[in-house]
Amino acid sequence: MLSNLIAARAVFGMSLSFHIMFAALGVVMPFMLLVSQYLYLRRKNPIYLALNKKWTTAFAVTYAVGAVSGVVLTFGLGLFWPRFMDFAGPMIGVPLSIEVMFFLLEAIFLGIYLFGRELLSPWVHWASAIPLFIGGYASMVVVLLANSWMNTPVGFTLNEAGEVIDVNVLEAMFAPAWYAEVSHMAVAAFEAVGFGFAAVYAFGMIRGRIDEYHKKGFFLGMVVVTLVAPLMIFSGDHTARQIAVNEPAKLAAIEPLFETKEGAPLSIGGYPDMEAEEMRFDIEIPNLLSILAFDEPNATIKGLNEFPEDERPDPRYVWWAYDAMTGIGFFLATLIPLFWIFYWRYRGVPTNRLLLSAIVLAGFLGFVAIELGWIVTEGGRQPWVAQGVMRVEDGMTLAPGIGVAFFGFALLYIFLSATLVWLLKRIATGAPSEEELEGVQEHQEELEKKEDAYAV
Amino acid sequence: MPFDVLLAGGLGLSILLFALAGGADFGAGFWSLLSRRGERAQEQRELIESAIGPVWEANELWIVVSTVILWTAFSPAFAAYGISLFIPFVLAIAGILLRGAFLAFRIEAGEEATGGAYKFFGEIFGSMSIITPFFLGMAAGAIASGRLRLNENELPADGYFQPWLGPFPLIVGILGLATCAYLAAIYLTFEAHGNPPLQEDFRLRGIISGIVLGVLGVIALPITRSDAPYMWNGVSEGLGLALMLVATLSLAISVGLLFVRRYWWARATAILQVTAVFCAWAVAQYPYLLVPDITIQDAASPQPVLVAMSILVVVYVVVLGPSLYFLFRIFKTRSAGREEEP
Repeated sequence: MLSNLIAARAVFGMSLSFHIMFAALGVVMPFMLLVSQYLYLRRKNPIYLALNKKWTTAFAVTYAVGAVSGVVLTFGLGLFWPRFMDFAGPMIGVPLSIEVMFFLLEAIFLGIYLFGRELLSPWVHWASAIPLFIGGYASMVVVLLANSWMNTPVGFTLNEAGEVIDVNVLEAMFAPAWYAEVSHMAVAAFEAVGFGFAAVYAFGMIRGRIDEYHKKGFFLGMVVVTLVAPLMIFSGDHTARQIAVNEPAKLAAIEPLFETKEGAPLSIGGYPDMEAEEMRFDIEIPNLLSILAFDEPNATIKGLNEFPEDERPDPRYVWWAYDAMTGIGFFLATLIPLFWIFYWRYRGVPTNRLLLSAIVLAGFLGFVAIELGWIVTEGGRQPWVAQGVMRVEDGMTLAPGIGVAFFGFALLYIFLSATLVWLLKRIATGAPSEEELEGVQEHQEELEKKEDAYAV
Repeated sequence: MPFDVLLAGGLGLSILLFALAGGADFGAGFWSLLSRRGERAQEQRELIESAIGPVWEANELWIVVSTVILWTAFSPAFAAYGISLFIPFVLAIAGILLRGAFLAFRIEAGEEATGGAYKFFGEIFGSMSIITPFFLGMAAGAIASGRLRLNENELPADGYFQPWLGPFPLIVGILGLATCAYLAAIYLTFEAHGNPPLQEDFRLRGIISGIVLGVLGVIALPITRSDAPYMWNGVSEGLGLALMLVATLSLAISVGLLFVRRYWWARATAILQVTAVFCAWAVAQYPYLLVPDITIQDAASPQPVLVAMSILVVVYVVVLGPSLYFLFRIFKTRSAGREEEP
């Protein structure tokens, strides 16, 4: 049987990696709903309405899965990490409580948006997606505030017994890592989901469904990623600096850098030889790590040797994830200018199969990159649950039988994912026919005429 | 100002709101599971889905509000619950997860499109709706009964089953489920406005479940006396007793009002009944968060956190109050007044 520690970490790692995809969707899909419905209301092209309706249905099921897996996580903190919550509750409890408020706001307005299409006047219905977007976006921000406290815990006073006796609520809420984490995740969510949307329609076009519906869906996704991708360069750079300053052990592990060095090189690829404590078969770019971290070619970067042996993160957990994440980032970034070159050459949405295939791949890799980034930030903090303050094993539950819970939840998530995928495939029926579009539009125009019949 | 007591009040209120709103959604799932025979079974299930579809996510989140108040303001109590009542809580959240996801799947799948799957999703939604109120009730019973004692390491002294596998937690679990079913049936008579046969179906269910709830309440009395002495003292004298009498009376009146088809008043008295039982419980349990080892004062976080959390509770009310009003105004006033439209 699994040890309880491994099982608790596995349950939580699994639940978070499951939830994080739906969290990203929950942040960006309301934005896509706002954009598509705005375009319809302004331009009266029923294609946008058809896209909007399809996305609403898809969002309804993905949000439900995101919401219930979020509820599981809320309880799970108490069930699997009660001693961590006992200690950290006063500090991270405040941002997490704010998160719940935004989560509720999102849930309330999702109900309104989902079921209110026929009951609200079209612009009020559109506007009800604004709090939906704010709720999702702000939830993400405050959850990351709590996570950044785990990476760089501040704002509390301990007594000799190690109990929290005083808390500076605001200082704990805005821990040093907060800005880097929030901006990085926000941009990542838009990039991954934008590529995800484009990928769905690119896939349809590869299979021969080249029509206005697919082109417009594809194009909207590409516009979103074009707007956010340049931000990713700044955000990635800023995040790396923040880690260098506040989380030196994490930086040493993701590089990996075994010995402290002046003018440290950036190493790409290779693998960490733990016996010899060095990187093998990697490509080294001299001084680049020092420049990236401190703008100084000869700046000193702390190696893993600076940290006591039992407090070092294991580079084997994170180095590959970091390299893969940045690799994906560069791949996604190159696709964007390529898309626009093709767009210019074709004088419209390109249907080049190679480009479309690359974007389908990007839609998948964007989500992979989110998972990898999360592995880097959590894995790079080990063995701490709160950096330098509490070790993971001291935060876990003492209840037995966590292994059983792990298998139970694993089965549950597999079952849920399989059903969700099956359902989303059924929802993806392709473009509506001409008659359907006309019917939709007529119905919508009728709705717009009977102004006085609305609840609001 | 005693912020800890205020926050404990906020905690209680959010649990009560969860019971009244979310609880009824679970009860509706229970009725959906039972609606399998008869010519109107399909209609009954559709009514249930249209009634809870827009609101279940918002309703469910009250339990999350209570969780965050608990872990921010009273983190040692949260840790003790999480460790000692691991099993019932895990089962309850598995229920929350499956019931919500499959309700959404069912609504979005649509019946014509996916016949067999629609039915299957419904079975999962219905059966999982039973699990959550039952195990949450058992956990509440364990917390209040005094069966759950902590040893010097703050671990359950009698193991992980004994605290909640006993007569009092069991009867509270059953009462929890019965209360949800009763509330749901009464709310649904309201939702079925304009469809008399359907309304009659839920009226009958409301009367039956109200009577069952009353009988269960009587059965619970001797069990409480022997298995949860602290609760028994609380509800058998003073304010606790007065509230229990109000609850008993409200239940009787509410069933009577259902009988004479006064649905609005039946719903109001049912809500009063649940609220009164809940308040009696709170009075009896005060000042303990875990009878008899953890009090509100023992578990309270440092003052700045309590102040911040209290401010947040006010912000909750300011932000969410109008939003909820908007939600219920759109979906609930119309369902009640549907037949008045031209």
